[in-house]
Amino acid sequence: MSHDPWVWIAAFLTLAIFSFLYKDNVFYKIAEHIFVGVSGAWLFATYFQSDIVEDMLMKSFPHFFHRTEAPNYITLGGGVIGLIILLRMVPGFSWLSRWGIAFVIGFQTGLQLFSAINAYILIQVRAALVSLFVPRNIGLTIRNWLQAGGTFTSLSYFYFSKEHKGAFGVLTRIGIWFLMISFGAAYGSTVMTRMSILIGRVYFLLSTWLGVVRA
Amino acid sequence: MLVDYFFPRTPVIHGTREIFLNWGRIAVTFAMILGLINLLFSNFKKVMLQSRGWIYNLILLVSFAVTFYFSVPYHTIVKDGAVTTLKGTDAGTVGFQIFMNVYTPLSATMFALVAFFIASVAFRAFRAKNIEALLLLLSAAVVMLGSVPLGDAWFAALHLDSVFGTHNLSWLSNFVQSVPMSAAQRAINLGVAIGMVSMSIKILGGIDRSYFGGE
Amino acid sequence: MNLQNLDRRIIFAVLLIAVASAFLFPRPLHIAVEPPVQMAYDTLNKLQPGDRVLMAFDYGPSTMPELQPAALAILRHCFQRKVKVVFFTLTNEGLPMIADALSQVAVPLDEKENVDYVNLGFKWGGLTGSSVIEGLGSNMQAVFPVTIKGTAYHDVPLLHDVKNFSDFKALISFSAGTPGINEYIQYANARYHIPIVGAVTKVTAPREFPFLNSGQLAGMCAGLVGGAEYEELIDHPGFGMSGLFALSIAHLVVLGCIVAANIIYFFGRRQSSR
Repeated sequence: MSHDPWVWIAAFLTLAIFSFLYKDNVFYKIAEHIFVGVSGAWLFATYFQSDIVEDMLMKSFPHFFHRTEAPNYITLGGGVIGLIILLRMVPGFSWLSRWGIAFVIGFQTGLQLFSAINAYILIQVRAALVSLFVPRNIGLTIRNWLQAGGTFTSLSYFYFSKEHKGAFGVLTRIGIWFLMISFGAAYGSTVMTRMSILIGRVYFLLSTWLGVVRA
Repeated sequence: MLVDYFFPRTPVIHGTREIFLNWGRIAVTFAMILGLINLLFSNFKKVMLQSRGWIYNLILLVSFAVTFYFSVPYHTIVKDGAVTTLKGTDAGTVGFQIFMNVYTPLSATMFALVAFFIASVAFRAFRAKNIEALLLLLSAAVVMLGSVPLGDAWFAALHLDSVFGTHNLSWLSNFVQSVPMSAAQRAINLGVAIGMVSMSIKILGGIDRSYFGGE
Repeated sequence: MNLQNLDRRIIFAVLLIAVASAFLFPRPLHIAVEPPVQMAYDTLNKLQPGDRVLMAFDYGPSTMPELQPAALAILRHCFQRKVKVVFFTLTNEGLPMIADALSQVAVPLDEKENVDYVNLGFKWGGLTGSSVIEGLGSNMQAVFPVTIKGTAYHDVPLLHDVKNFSDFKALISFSAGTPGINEYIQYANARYHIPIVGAVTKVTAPREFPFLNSGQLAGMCAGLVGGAEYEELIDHPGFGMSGLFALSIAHLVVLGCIVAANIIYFFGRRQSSR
C-alpha cells in the first residue's frame, strides 16, 4: 500500500467518481466541482505562460525577462485584439468585440480553406480512384472493388436530391451496409478506448495505491 | 492567409502572415480566458446569492484559487550566466502535483465511467432486428475480438482459421477496418470536408455571420 | 425478475470484477503485429543517427492508458536509433505527459537535454492548432522563442540550424482528438510534405484509415493494443503488454452482454408469439 499522500488523494477522488455508478451522491458532486475548478486554473496558467507571457510580453519587453533580443512591439497587436474580445463583458462596448472575433474567425478560416481542400478532398479523391482490374492479383482486384464501390455507394446514400428508389435505391442500400460496417467497427473501437481507460484506473487502484498487483 | 499560398516567397505577404499568426495565437488565448471569466462569474454569483447547491460552487472557486496560486507563477532568473524560467506548471512543483494527482484521476475516471455505461447499453439496446443491425453487430464483434490476442486464440481453438486459409481473426479485423470501413469513412470525410469548405467560403464572403451570435 | 430490465449496477459490478480479476490473475499473451503498426515501425527504422524528428504529445490523462504505451515505445525506439527528438504539444494537458515520458525513457537512457532532445513546451493555436502548425512550417523560432525551461531558441545546440519542418525527417503525433493528427495531415503534410506517423486512440482510428490508405499517414498505432504491438516490435514490454489480458476480458464481457441480450430478446419474442 502506498504511503504517498498524493496517491491517497488520487485514490479517494477516483473512488468518489466511481461512486456515481451506485447513485449520485455528495462525494461525486464535490469531485466533479473540484475537477472543473482545477482544470480551469491549469488552463489559465498554461495559456497565460505560453502565449501571453512568452509569445507577447517576452517578445515586446525582453529586458524584463533578462533576454538580449531586440524588442518587437508588433506582437502587442495580438494583445490589443484580445482585449477588444474581452470587451464583450462590458455593457455598452460589447459591440467592439465583434471586430476581435471577426479577426480570429477570418484568419483561421483563411488558414484552413486551401489545406482542407488539398488534404481532405483532392488527395482523398485521388486515393479512391483505384484500378478495378489488377492482372494476376484477384485479391487486390476484389479489395479495390470494395474500396471504390464502398466509397461511391456510401456517398450516394447522402445524395438526397433524388429519391432512393429503383437502381439508385439498390446503390444506396449497399451504401448503408458499408456505413453499418463502418459504424460497427467504430462502436468496437469506442468500446476498446473506454475499456482501456477503465483498465488504467483499475491498474492505478490495484498497483499504485493498494500494491496488490506488481507494476 | 489565402494570398500567401499564391505568393509564398514575397517578403511583405509572408511577413504579414507571420504577424497575423502571432496575433491569432494571442487573440484566441484571450477568447479562452473570456470563457473562463464567464465560468467564474456565474459560480461567484451563485455563491453570493446562496442558490441551491452553492456549497459546490464555493468548492469550485476554492479549488480554482488554490490551483491558480500554485500554477500561475512565472519567474525568470539568471543562473550561472544562463537565463532560466521557473513556472508553477514545471515538473516537481506543487502545481504539477495538483495536476497529476487531482486533475488526472478525476479526468481519467470521468472517461472510465463511460465504459460501464457502454456495457449496460450493450445489454439493453443492442438487438439484431434487421440485416443492417446484424452487420453492425458482427463488424463490432470482429473488430473487438480481432484486436486482442484472445480473439486469435479462440479462432484457432474453434478451427475457424482453416476457413480463411492462413488468415486469422486479426487479419479479418484489419481487413474490415482497412477496406469497407475505410471506404465508408472516406465518404463521410469527403462530405464533412465539402461542408467545411462551403462554410468557410460563406464566412469569408460575409454570407454567414452566425459566429457573431444571434445575427 | 425480467432479465431484459436487469439492474444495470449488476452489469457494472460484473465488468469491474472481471477487469480486476484479470490483473490479479494475469496471463501472458502473444500479440500479432498489424500492418499499420509495422508501417510506423518501418518508417522510423529508416531514420539515421543524427536525424531530427518532432514529437507532438497532444493528449491528456484521460487517454493516457491508450497512448502512453505507444509514446514510450516509439520514444525508446528513436533514442535507440540515436535520433534527435524535439517535443512540443498543442494541448495544455500534454505538458505533464511529456514530463512523464522523459522521466521514464530519456532519464534512464541518459539522454542529454538540448543535445539529444529538447522540450519546447505548450503553445495554444486555437481549437485546431492551425496557427502553431503553420508557424512551425515557416519559422519555428517565432512560435517557440524559448524552451520549456526558458533557454532561448538560438542557445539550444539541437536547434542550431533548424528553421522549420524541412529540417525534420518526420512528425510523430500522439493525439486524442482535436488538435491532433488530422490537423498535422491538413497543415503539415499537405503543404510542407513532412511524413506523419501517428498514435491515436482507438475511437479516432476509424477516421484515420483513409489517410493511411492514401499515404498521408506513414504508419499508425491505434490504442492500447497498438502500443502493445510496438512494444513487441522493440522487444521492451510495458503497460501495453500487461494491459492486454484485462482488455481481452473486458471485451468478452461486452460481447457477452450483447449475445445474452439478443438471446433473451429472441427467446422472449418466441414466447410471446406463442
